[in-house]
Amino acid sequence: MNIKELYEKIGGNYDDVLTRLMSESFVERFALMYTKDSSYETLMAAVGSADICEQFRAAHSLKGVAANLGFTELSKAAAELTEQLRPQNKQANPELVNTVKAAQQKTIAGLAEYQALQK
Amino acid sequence: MIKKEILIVDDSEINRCMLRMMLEKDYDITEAENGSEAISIIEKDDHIFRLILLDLVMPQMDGFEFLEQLKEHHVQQDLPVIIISGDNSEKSLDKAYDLGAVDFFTKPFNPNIVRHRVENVINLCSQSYRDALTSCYNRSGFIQIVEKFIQKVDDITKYSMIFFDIKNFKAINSIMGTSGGDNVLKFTSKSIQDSDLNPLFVARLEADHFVCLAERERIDYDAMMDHDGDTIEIKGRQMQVRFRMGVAHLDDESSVAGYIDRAKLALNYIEDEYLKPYAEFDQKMAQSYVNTAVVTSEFETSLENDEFKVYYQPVMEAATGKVASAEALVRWIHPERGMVPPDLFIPALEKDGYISKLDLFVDIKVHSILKEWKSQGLPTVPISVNLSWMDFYDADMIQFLKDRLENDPSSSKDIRYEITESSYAALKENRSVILKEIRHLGAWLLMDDFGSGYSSLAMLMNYHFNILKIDMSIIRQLENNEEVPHIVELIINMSHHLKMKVVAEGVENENQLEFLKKAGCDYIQGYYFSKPLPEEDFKKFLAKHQAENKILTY
Repeated sequence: MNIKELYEKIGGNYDDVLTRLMSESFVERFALMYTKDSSYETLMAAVGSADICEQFRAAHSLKGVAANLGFTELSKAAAELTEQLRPQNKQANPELVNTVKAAQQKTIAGLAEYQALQK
Repeated sequence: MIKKEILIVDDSEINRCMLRMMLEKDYDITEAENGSEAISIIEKDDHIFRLILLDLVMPQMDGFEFLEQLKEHHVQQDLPVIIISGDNSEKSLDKAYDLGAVDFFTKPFNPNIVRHRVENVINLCSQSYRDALTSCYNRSGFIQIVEKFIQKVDDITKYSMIFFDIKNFKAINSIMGTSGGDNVLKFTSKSIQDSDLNPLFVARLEADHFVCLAERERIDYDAMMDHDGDTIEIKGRQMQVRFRMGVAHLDDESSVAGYIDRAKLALNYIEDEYLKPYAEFDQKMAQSYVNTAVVTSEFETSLENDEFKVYYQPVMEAATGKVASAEALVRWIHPERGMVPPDLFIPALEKDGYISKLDLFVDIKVHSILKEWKSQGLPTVPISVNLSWMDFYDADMIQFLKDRLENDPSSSKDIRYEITESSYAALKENRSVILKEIRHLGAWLLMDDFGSGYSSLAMLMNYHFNILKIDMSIIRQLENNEEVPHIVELIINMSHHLKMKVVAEGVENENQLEFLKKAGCDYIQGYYFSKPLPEEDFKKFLAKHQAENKILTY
């Protein structure tokens, strides 16, 4: 599996990210950085804590990071949750949270598989 | 050149890294994870940030709070902020603009947009410290940034301030016009920046004066001389651009402005304009520089404390040896430093504009002494006082002199005014009427130091002087340069044709006196007859000569 195939697998936009980051090696480097990123964990913790403000903040951050990496599916899911939370008057919608969860799992699984194949 | 510094404030490492990757070729990047970390980095003040890229949504301290604190702390007031926005939500951007943000870009980051926004904002916000023509620093921007820079370096003595001027700039400007001159200035700015000096900061201070800060070890005069005289094509013509350089090594004893002054001062000590058009500042120059600063800072107090004394040097009639007049000369007797040489403090006062105060002080002193002695029945002679070219720009002083001549017509016989060629420029600027008025009121005018400068005949053609004084530098060469006696004779003849009497200054021996007498010189001033005398001694000198009937009556 090459990096382009990884992006296809996790619902990302490879062409977009390649244009922005200029080289395949940069795309790979940044994509793999996501395995150590804590945006998703921060969001889940906030959902667990019922702090709406923190939920919004974390969803917003995840959306931004995923967008920068070209993880379109994850970014879209986080964006929807962010918009739902923006008025900051309702707890996170569990359905939207689940969509984010699914996208995250898909992304992490893809990255893990890619990493394993590189070794 | 040092890269401009940017502070990136974002809680996501991925985002920060991505921005760093896009910008680090051209900028020096510092990262902060949140607002409070950013504030403490800025407060530490060991960076010179030109821009902050700020994420609005962060844990700890968010972007809005950061902007508020940045305002409150008044750290680097004009530091621009670009918002890294997750989306185009207008509400939050409006709030950020209210708090002083100047622009934004959204995620995902597009490197072209990021670079352009960053470049635009930095350029736009740098107008107050950039020179518009060359886009290097202006004086205040340079001083500000170098001050910050030297605060954070370990060893300031590794750096040097280098002052440049362009040798033939006036000629270039007049031949090529201002636009040609502007091209040369841009060329110069670029030459300095691209040179092997690899300067950290470059500024154009004014006109053709440039300054840069560079590492001392990068200074290689021979290498720089290879490029001195590089040519630039303007309007199809090749022009050679020649620099002069003054260098001051930093030593922790002065301020940035002080080092610039030192480097500039060193220019005055360049000995060979062609082979070695550079000079390094040294302690000897430091002495005179310190003194110059001391002179102007202490001048007014010293004047009040009566530290300035007027001395009188007698002028004798050549043929008879009678006292004809005297010149008032000012001496500064400093309580700690003793006698301060006039050639040190007078140029300093001229530079800072205090000289007119001193000239007026002398004039008033002379006037009151002559009145006092006359009222006591003591002998007097006419006394001449020096007027600096600056006095012609001091309307109050000139008015004072004219009023006194009008109200006390007898004073016109007592006080004469000596002016030098350096006043010619001032007189040409519509101030010639002043001389005519003074003369009209009966006062005598003396052309001082003739032969020391340009010896401009235009000065003699355009203004009428009663007396011409031949400079002592000429009299001293009477005996060792065979051309000089002829020149002196010619000056004396010319003066007599123009109905001027002649004073020879600096006469020190009998040979000189005899020659001058034969040549028809009217008056003699110099140590042969008397050095400048303090008031009491001059009083005795006059009394003694009166007793011998040796005071000239007019």
